Amino acid sequence: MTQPHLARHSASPWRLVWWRFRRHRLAMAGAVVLAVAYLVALFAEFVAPYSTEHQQVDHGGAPPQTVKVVDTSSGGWDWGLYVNGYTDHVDEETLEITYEVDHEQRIPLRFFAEGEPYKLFGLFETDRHLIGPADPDGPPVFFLGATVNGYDLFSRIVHGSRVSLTIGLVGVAASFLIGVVLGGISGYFGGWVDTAIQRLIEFFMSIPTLPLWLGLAAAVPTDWGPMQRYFTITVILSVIAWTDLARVVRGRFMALREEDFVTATALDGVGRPRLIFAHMLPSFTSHLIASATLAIPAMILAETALSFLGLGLRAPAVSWGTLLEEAQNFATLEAAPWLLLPGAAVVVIVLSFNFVGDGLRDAADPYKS
Amino acid sequence: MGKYVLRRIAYMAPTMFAISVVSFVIIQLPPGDYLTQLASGLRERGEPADQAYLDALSARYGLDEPMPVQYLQWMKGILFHGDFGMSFEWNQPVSALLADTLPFTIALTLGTLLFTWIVAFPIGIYSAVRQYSLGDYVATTVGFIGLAIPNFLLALVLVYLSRMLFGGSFVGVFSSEYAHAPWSVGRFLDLLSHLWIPVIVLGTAGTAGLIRILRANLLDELRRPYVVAGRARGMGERRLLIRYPLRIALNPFVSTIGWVLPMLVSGEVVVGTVLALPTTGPLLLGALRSQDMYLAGSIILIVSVLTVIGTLLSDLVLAWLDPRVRHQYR
Amino acid sequence: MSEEPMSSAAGAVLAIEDLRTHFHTRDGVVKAVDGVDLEVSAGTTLCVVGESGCGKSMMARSVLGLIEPPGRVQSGAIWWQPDRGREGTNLATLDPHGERLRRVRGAEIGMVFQEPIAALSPMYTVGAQLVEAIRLHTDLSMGEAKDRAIAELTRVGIPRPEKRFDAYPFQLSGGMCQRVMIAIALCCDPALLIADEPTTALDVTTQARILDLLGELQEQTGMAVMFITHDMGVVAEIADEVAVMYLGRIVERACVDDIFASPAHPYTQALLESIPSIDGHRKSRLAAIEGLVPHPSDRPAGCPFHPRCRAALPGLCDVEMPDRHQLGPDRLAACHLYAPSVRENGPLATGRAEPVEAVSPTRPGSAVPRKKPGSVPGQAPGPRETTTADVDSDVRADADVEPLLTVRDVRVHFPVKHGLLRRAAWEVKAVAGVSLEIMPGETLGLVGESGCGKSTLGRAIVRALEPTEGAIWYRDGETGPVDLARLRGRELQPYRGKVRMIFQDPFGSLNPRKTLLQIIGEPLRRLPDGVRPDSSLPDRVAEMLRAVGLRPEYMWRYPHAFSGGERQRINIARALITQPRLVIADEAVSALDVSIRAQILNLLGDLQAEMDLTYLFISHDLSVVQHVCDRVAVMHLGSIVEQAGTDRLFAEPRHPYTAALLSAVPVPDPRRRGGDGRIRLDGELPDSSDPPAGCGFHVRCPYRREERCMSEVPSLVSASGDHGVACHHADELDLQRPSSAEPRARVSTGRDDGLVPSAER
Repeated sequence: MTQPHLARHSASPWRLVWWRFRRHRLAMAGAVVLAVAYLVALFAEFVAPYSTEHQQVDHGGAPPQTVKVVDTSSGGWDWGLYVNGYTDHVDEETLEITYEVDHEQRIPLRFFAEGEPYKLFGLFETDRHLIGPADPDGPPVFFLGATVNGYDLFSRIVHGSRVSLTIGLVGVAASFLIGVVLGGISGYFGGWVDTAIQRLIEFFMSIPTLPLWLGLAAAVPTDWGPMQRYFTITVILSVIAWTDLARVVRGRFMALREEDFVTATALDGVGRPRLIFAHMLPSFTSHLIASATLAIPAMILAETALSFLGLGLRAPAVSWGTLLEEAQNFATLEAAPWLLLPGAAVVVIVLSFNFVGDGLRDAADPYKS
Repeated sequence: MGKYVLRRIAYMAPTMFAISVVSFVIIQLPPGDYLTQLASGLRERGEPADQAYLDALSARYGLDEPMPVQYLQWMKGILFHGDFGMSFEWNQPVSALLADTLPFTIALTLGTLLFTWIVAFPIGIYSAVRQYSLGDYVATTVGFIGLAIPNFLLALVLVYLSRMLFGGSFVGVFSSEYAHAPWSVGRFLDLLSHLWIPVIVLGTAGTAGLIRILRANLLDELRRPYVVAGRARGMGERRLLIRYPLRIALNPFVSTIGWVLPMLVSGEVVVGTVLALPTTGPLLLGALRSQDMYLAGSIILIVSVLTVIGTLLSDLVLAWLDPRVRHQYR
Repeated sequence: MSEEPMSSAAGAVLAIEDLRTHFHTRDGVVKAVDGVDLEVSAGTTLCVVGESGCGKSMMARSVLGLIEPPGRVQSGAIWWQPDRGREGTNLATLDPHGERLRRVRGAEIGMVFQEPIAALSPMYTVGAQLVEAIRLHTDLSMGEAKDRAIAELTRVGIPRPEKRFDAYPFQLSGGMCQRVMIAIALCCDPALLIADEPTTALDVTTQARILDLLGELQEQTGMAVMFITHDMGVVAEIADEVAVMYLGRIVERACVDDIFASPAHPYTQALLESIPSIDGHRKSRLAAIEGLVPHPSDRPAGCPFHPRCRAALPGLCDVEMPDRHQLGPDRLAACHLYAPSVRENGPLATGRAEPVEAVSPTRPGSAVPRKKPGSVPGQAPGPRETTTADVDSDVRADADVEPLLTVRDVRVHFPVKHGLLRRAAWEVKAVAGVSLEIMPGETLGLVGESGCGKSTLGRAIVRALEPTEGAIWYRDGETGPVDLARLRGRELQPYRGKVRMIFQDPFGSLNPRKTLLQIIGEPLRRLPDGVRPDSSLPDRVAEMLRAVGLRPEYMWRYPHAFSGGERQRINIARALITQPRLVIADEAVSALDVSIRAQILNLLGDLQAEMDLTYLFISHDLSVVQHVCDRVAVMHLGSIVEQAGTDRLFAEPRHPYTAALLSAVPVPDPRRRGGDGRIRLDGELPDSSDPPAGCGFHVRCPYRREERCMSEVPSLVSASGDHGVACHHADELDLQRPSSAEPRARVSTGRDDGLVPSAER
């Protein structure tokens, strides 16, 4: 026996899953991206240069600025982070503002810059931001451009990640609960209970989800606050999304019931609750985690679509969906194509979740080659 | 087989019933009742609310009756008179509005389904047969991205790009000069030039999903003993592939109707809105925004029922194609 | 290679030279086939035999270029028809997708696989697949091909071929599908048929008929057959030549008589000795081969067999790969014992090894109780030398000993749900009224074909299932009789530890996510008579692990670290840790290779003596049952048709079904091949959801006589002593020598139609 074999022998199942997952390069990359994204969401106030309320009306629709490291305009090599400022020009007839990069104007940047004060986690008061203009009272910077109303898009994407990234988790957690309970009941008891639940699942799956979501979301009173709306939307999303998970759970239960080791454990005198929770459930938790991971992107996409259509979250709540709502108008889009950037964030996150989910699914059963 | 068809149709009845109930509940969900909204709607537009008219409507839809009775009234109207109720927003019968938009919606959906199949079929096979080839990696990557892009984003990007590259408007189904013109070759070509964006946008996610499923299924089937056995009796690779594993891997194509259809219908709501298509999607959205609930509920009902019928058809085709399914239900 | 392999034998159709097939995996190169030389002569049958993982199948697939990536034929030549004047064709160099190899496949070499149902596409009728195979290699029109196909189906003994032509594979039984596969393989009259374990997945009665069929077809066509198997009995039955394979190499080649009369290679000897023979002495220890077949990627240095070889010469066998040595005309062995240098001064003098001349003419399943036990570390108890007669008389003489378990009229019916409301449409009567007694200390065998209800009965006794009707009385010294069938839920707890079960599948029966300590300790923590969870639990588990021949420190490992044989030991440990009285062993050794099987059988025997256990031994393998059991009950279609002491039953079967089962078991002795008095059953086990009226066996019985068999259910009558039989005509039949008196009746009336009743409802 060679060394790796020996290590394998005493490895726990979770370790085997991890070893297999590690070999899946895309999944590992996805995991890193997600880790970074959730850190950003956690420290959103710190990472974003501005708060969600910070509006620069006179800079509405300003284009993205390129961060430069070295300034050679003066002939020499002048190191230091900076962006160029704008000169704006208002068309007399159309009142349209056009921006031009002003190569003369340098807005120096710095890390841990002083800015608007905020409370991190509602606890620590500080006014430091990860990056921002060195001079807090000088001209503003827009790394990814400004929205039509003069908000900093970069800051808004960072703040919006809180809603967009968590709604998937909360939604999947809720549908997980419904799915596992119903799927478990269905799979374990079988018989008419199973038949009834199966019919219910088939029914939910045959309905086009978005119209139903829209219908339910439209019924949410318009005067509800952002938090209330957030949770209602989450519940609406999970009311329909639990079916897949329930099917996975049921299928696993059905297969496991036939396994000899389950019979053997029952013959060991193990009672039903312990049989289910201590012996059967651990056999497919890894599968469940994989399925849940794969269900998150659908949730994120659904929230984005709902908000985009104006039926999900509404301003002043900031999510990637509400940010994209501004891009609906083609005229606006033509003038400010960077408004599509929140969409890029959605794609990256959804891709990462898919990669991680695929990796987990492949690794979920470490005993299959 | 006849028995199987009957049984499948019998299974459908409770689903249909549940859908109608859900649709009705959605109609009833918003606060306030339909008539007060109608009256306020009319008032807003400066039209005097004709009390007699309102009373007639109230009697017609049994709005004073308890909920179950209202539901029965509504269903009776639909089943026996094709009457889905009134749209107060448009001040038209819902059935008339549906007649305008539904055919185009169905045509668009079926066209997209066809597009999905035509694209996914060869790519899926190639991807499985040449596993880990460059083409497979490209297809897999494109598939992943296709699944990750929200379709409204794709619509926005495509419209933005086509405007930048070709100029002109690709929104709506007709250019302005053909919008109200009678049918002609030019008008038809104009329609096609507008349709490619919605078809691609709607079809991308489904195509990507289908490629992944076909690839996985075919890879599974390619490892089965009967493939080795077929090879061992001297079958050529191409013939073997087409006759044996592909026949089974075809099943997901047929069952796509079951899950791609709901997906297309969902996507159509968003894409129709972004691209300003005369489909049920924008109509539904408008109805929901203005709480025009009979219209909204009816659209949800019709679209869901059509999906259920599509699923039924796919199940029947599946049974016709696959002897295992067929013989399971003798 | 010092000596040339046999000069190309006259009439060789296939000559393989130094074939190497390697798999390039992530974890390194796996040498599945590593230097094989073989010839198959025209008109003869070559059996390639060896345990699983020896590369037999890969070798066979290499011949037809069927190796799939990451595997490939690394080197070597596969000469096809080398003596046909010209050089012949080297199949190894042909393009696997090319025209030439495709013509060889199917037209010149046919192949049959292990899983007949899986080897046919479920999407087409068997007729369509047969027609396609015919048209691949001939110019026949559709119509002609169909006629030919029906003729082929007739030739392979498929009743009513016109009807079967339109059946899908999943509507046919395994035996029928294998016949279809044979028809497909032979439809273009190939010169060679490669059969890769074609009967392994089939019941013994079906296996016998398929082997007969292959023999008949070979006689008709004069084709050569390369038959791959792990079953020495099958080898003795059909082989002309034998090649024994171990870890990708041929270790011995000889004609079948030599192999069985005087096996030369220690591996061949050990293989033969580890089979419990139907004639062998019962309850003796089997000569198990030490250890297990290593994975091809862990190939030991030197002779790959040396770690398990009892004649291994240190310093030689573990260093140097043995050459092939010619021991006689057409006889080769790859073993250092036959190297001239060793012969002169080596082991002969020490007497440690036994080269071919010195091999004692013991028959396989040798009765010599081996003093050195199977060699598993820690296997404590000594050999048991009790002979059958003693045990029999022990149990019988004590007439007033009460049975430990009395099964009375137990029925287990499974409802088959159907339709919209999932009502029970009909019932499968898996166990249709069985009565049994199990005496303390004895081993009762329960045999029958798959689907006869034997496992269901076993599961009902341990109450993994609820019997539909009947009583299961359990009594031991401590408690009065208790009807286990009536107990529910918690009431069963006290008996869960007393009646235990060992499962068949060593992989599915252990939870992969629990350590051995958790798996084996679980019953102790749960059962009232077990210890309470305290510090003694690991000690008890350690003790138990030692008792089953595993190291105590393994208790921290997970099941994936263990091989099939080791897992079966874990299974046994879990069953026995509660100090049970009765153990139901449900096909406990069926999934194991012969050498491992012998180890486990020895272990079960030792533990029985040590812990005073009573076994209900459920198996389809008659030779194993004969080896371990004191009494045997034969089950057919949910009922017991015959029950008697083992010797009695095997010597004088009185039920035609028992006789047929016995005659279907291939005897590992080529001299007794095709002996007279063979009974071959037509058809297969009827559907237990729709059992035939009258005697359940009448549709298959060659001795069926009149109305009575078809209308009246025979009951189990104890005719003489303890010999019970359920047959109306038991007294009139002479089953020991049914040869001349009873013609080998093959009445092909309604019973052929009953082959697959479900398809015809």
